[in-house]
This record gives sequence, C-alpha cells and structure tokens, in this order.
Amino acid sequence: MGISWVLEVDQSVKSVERLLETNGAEKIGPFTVDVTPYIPTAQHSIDIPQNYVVHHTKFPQTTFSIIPGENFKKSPKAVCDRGFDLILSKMRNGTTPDLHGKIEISGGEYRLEDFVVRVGTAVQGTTVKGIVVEVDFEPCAVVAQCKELMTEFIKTIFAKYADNRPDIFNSNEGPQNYTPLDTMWQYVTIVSKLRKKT
Amino acid sequence: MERRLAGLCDPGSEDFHEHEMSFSLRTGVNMSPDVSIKIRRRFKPDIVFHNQWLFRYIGVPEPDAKCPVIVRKVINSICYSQDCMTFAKTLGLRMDYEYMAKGKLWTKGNIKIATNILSRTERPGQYDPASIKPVSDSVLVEISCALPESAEYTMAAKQIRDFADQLMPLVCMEKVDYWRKYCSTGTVASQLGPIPVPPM
Repeated sequence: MGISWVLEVDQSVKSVERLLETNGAEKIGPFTVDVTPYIPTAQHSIDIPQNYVVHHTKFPQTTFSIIPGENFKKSPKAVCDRGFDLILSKMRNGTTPDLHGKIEISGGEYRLEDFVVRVGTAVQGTTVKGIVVEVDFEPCAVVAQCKELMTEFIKTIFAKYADNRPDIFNSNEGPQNYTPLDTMWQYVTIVSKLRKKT
Repeated sequence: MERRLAGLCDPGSEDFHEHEMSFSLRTGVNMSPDVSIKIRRRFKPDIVFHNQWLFRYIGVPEPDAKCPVIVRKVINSICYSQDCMTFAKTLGLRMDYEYMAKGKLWTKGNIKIATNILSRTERPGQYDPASIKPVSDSVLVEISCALPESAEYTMAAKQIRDFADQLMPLVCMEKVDYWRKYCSTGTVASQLGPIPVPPM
C-alpha cells in the first residue's frame, strides 16, 4: 500500500525539515534507501545489461532488482527476498556490484497525517550528490484515485516541483495498481541522474 | 512406497506439482556453464501464484569422502516478477533444461523427503497435456536436510543415511558423482532412479 512521489530538491535537508515541521509533521524515525548498480564483467559487456539493486527500509526483507529499459513497462524487474543478494554474489563472473557507483540516501522520516515524507541526503562514496524527498501517501494503491491530492500536497510544500510529475502520474492507461517497484523505479531514475552530476 | 513413508514420517504430506527450469551463467572457457540457478514455480499456476518464483542456487559438493551423503550449499530466494524469463535472460542466465515434477513432500523432524514423478514436454514452450510425456516410470526420491551455513553436518548426514536405509529395498541411496557426469549434458532423464540427495 502507498503511493510515492520521489523528487530531487535543491534546498538543504534542514530547510526541508523545518518546512515540514511548520506544517505540523512529526519525525517518526530514520530511513535509508540504497541503490547499487551491478555492472557486467568485461567479457559480458554486450549480453548482460546493467542491473540496479535497491533496498528500502520500508521493506526491510526485500530486494528490488530493476534492469532499466526505455521505460518502466519495458524494464525487466523483480521483487525478491534478501537471499537474492547472495545469489547475485554467486554470479560474480558475469555481473559485479559497482561499489563506487553505489548511492545511499539516508535521513529522517516524517509523518503528516496520512502522508509519510522521507527526506534524505544522497551520498556516493563520500560525495554528497543531492537531497531526495519521497512523499508517500499510504491509504491508497491506485494512482488515478489520488494523483490530484498528491499534486496538491506537493504544490503546497514543494511548490516549484509540482509540474515535474513522475511518469506514472501522467499515464493515461486507466486505473492501475501501484506497486513498491514503481517507487524503486523513481529512485533508480533519480539516482542515475545524480550519478552523472559532479 | 507411499505407505512406507507414511509409516516412517511425520503425519501428513503436501502435494506439489512444479515446473523447474535450470539456468546457468556461461562465463567459462567455451561458454561452459559455471554457475547454475534453478528457477521453479507451480505448474499451471492459478492467478494468485502466477508470478511467484523460487530462485535456487546450488553450489558444488563439499569434497568429503567420509561423509555418507552429498553436502552442497543452497541459497533460496522467493521472487515475484511479471516477466521472469526476460528478467533471468537479462541477468545473463541461459536455460539448460526443464522438467515438471509432481509428487508429495513428507517431513521427519528436520529431514525433508520428496517423491517426484518427472515429466517433460516434447515441444519446448508448450505445456498442454498432449506434449507432456513422463520421463520414465521411476520415482525420484529426494531426501534432504537444511542446515545453517558452515554448521557441523556429520550428525545430520548420519540421520539421513539411517533414514534412507529404512527405505531399502524400495530405494537404495548411493553417493554418486552425478554432477560430474551429467551436469554438462543437462539431461534430466539420466539422473533418474533413486539418487542420493544431500543435506541442503
């Protein structure tokens, strides 16, 4: 359950936190999201594409794996338990984790009524790459039912990012169930943008 | 056989009918398979379980001549994916062989006993009853026991051995180097017959 809107903001964590607290949000705990790219070994650079493995503290026992294609629908993806990480490590002849490219987003989780907002700093190695905010509306599972509400929420708090909606919010394909993979896809998209940034 | 098991095992058994595909990552010289991953799911699954898969890695056996059974490392992972075949392919995995297993699962303490009747399809990709043929009229019996990593396995190995001996003469468990002979040819049929299965 829950629909998330993940966005990158160019203000400091402190100012976002202050903004949330003035709107009545309460801090409920820490959170971490890590995104590790698995890159193919030299001899397989053609037949094995890059694979992103994502962990999220909201789903502590789960590993998400996405192989980015041109869009979410066309990307092979899977939700696995943590044993999958061990299986991947057995396949190191074909694909290895790119630890330098790993980005970890960690920070605090705030609750504002039915919304949970996660504000975190994205760090690659020792370099800070940016601030990432995830707005999670928990009671709903269908994007079409709550996208207006979420847009309004973003407009109120992060006004200048409201026009930049995630792809799934712009889809016209009728009501579809939202899955945590959709959230991870947003993280993967943002992280691959952040990695290019210096 | 079933009656014998019913007498020996804990009460109750679980039926299963699964479709297993064996994949491998070919990275060695001549693209020889080096890591094999089994992907399993319910055969003819209903909608609820349609996209649930089990990824299983099975390592090479421990070189222990004295141990009465084969010991191999196993990692399982439950996985949900709408397009598992594409997903496996993009991970670099290629399919070697597949088969359908139907049977019953019994337990005796922490020992797991599965009886499998294997069948395979004559036309790859087609799973209608007309093209599915049994592999043979034998039953494959798997006796296994799962232990934590790097735990002492001698005790469990003896337990399995003792249990298997009680199934004589219906099932004769032998320690065979089956992986050496058959891994590369990848035929399930040759593995048939009662073969020893390690503690997992």
